[in-house]
This record gives sequence, structure tokens and C-alpha cells, in this order.
Amino acid sequence: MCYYNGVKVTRAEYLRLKHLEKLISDYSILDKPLVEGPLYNMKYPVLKPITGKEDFEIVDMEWGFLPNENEWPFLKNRLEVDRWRRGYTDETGRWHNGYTTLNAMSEYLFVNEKGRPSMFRKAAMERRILIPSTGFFEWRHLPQIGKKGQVLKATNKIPYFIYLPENLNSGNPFYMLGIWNSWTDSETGEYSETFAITTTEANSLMRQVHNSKNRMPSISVSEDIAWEWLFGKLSKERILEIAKIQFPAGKMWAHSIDKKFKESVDPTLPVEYPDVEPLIKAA
Amino acid sequence: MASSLFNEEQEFTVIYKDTPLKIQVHSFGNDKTYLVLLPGQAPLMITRAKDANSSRFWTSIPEGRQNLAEEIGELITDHIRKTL
Repeated sequence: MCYYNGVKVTRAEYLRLKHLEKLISDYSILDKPLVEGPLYNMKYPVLKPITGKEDFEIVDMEWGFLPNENEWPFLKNRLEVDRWRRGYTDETGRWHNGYTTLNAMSEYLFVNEKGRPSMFRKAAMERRILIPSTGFFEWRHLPQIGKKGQVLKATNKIPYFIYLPENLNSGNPFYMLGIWNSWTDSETGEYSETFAITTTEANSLMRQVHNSKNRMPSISVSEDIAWEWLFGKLSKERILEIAKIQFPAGKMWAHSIDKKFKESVDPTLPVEYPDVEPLIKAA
Repeated sequence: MASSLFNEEQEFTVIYKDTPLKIQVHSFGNDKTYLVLLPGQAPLMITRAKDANSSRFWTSIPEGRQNLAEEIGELITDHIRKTL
């Protein structure tokens, strides 16, 4: 239980009222129907615990986790950040691929894919957040057949809007799990708080939609889990356990949308494509 | 999508301590909030919430002006009942 204005309320009611606070004070941020991660041009409201209290504030953070400036890859300024994120060609003409930290795979929160300590490990232990969302977008890749009947390398990409019908109908957001870190530009002193959304293996719906990667965001399945993720003094094992929870496919749905949805006033409007197999609903 | 979260709907007036107060109704999804325009004071945003026993109560958003929220909230409840 928590208190709002001195009145005892449930955790769910507390979260609702706090979220309402944010909508009222700065609804223009949530009014943006589409937050596009790879452009790195927007901040996003997240629920961040207040140190030493079982309480949180709603703050705007930059989507795209940046490690501390004194840790690999030792990013000193915005130019280096931009190069690291997007990739760049060095003086010798060699191309360096960009490194994406919009998401943090739950399997690699503590030990990365090379078996080394992960850049996310301290944040996973100490700095966990919730990211309110009304839905998200992913591409479904469908095979294309050439004139001679052969399967072409290039796939037909169909965008989908994925949402939780119960939340969307009631106008309430759901919460993705995330981790955050601060980064300071050592040249200008600019202080930034940045975050990554943790991801888990795709459920049966997301395996059909995000079929190129078979991943999906870690989504809180209950208010108790959300609370535990924000405030719990958790072991590594429990953190991994929560981050790997797969939101049930039966409580999720997706529909195809316009291929130019990024330019659309309402990018979530359903658009049907002929010859595209409908998604199979989970029981 | 999120644009539907915020729709300004209507205005009405209640009398609080002999002073007419203009109330604006705002909807955020299913959540309805009331912006009270107080002469000489910062506007007050209030809403109905549920306490731990599922009883309804008026509260200010953000926290801090609970008494005023309860007093003016009751006037809003009366107004809504009369206009139903």
C-alpha cells in the first residue's frame, strides 16, 4: 500500500495517479504518437525511483543507453557518441559499424555474449526503470518470390502496431522494463540520463510479427512485478528472472499498418495487405 | 494514438464560499480531471481516486492541496448530480 495526499491507496492506484501527474504537467511528450529510437532525437518519460525512498518520479530520458565516460567505449563527447551509435568511416577509409543500445537483451544483462562483464551490469543491479507505453511497432518479414519462382533475398517488410487491447481500450499505459545510466560530455559538461529497454524471447504472437529477430520488450505482467523491478533489492538471479518474463501472447494483439506510418498523423491505423497471412491468435 | 488521451470537453461553474469558480473538464483516456480556476491562486487540478477500501475520494494532482480538493470536489459532485 502507498499514500497519495495522505490517503491510503493501492499500488495500482498510486501508479495511475502519478502517471496522471505527468500527463497533466507535460502531456505534450506523451502526445507524440511515435517515438523513433534509431533517430536518437527524442527524450521519453520514464518512471525512475527516488534514491532511498519507495517512491518514484517521472523524468525524461534519452533512449539509447550510454556507458559511463570512463568505461568502454570511453565516449568523451557527442561526436563520439554519434559515431558509436550510427557507425562512421575513419581517416583510413575503414567503416566502423554502429552499436545499438536501445535494447538490452535480458540474457546478457550481467555477462555479455563474449562472456565478459556486460556494460549493463551495474545499471541492472542499481538503476532499473519502467517505461510507460501504449504500444510499439515492429516489422514482419515475408519471403518474396521472383519471376522464376525462386525465393528472393530481399523480404517484403510489413509494419505492425503491437498493443495490449485491455490497456488501449481503457486508455491506460502498460510498462516496459528498462535500465538507465548517466553520461557526461567531458567537453561541455552536458549531463544526460539514458536508458535501454530490456528484451526477452518473443512469445507466439511476437514470433509471427518480429520474425527476423524473435525478440520482444520485457513487459510488466503485474503491479507487483513492476514494483519489485523498481524498488526491490534483488539478486542477479531474480533480475534475470523478471527481465526474461514473457508477456502472455493471449493478452496482446497486433495489426498491420501503413508502410509510411512514420509520416502518418496516426501511425497506428490498421491497413490490410492482400496475400499476407493473418496472425494466429493465442488462446 | 496518444492524441486521444487529452481532450478538452467542457466548462461549468460552481459557487465556492460565495465566489463563482470556473471548472474545466479534461479527459486522459478514461481518467477525468477537473481544472479549477481560482482567483488569485494557482489553478487546482483534481480528480476522483479510489482509496485502499475502494471508496471514492477527491484528490489534488499533484499532491499537496487535499483539503481544497475535497471541498471543491464535493461541489463538482453536486453539479454533476444536478445535471445528470
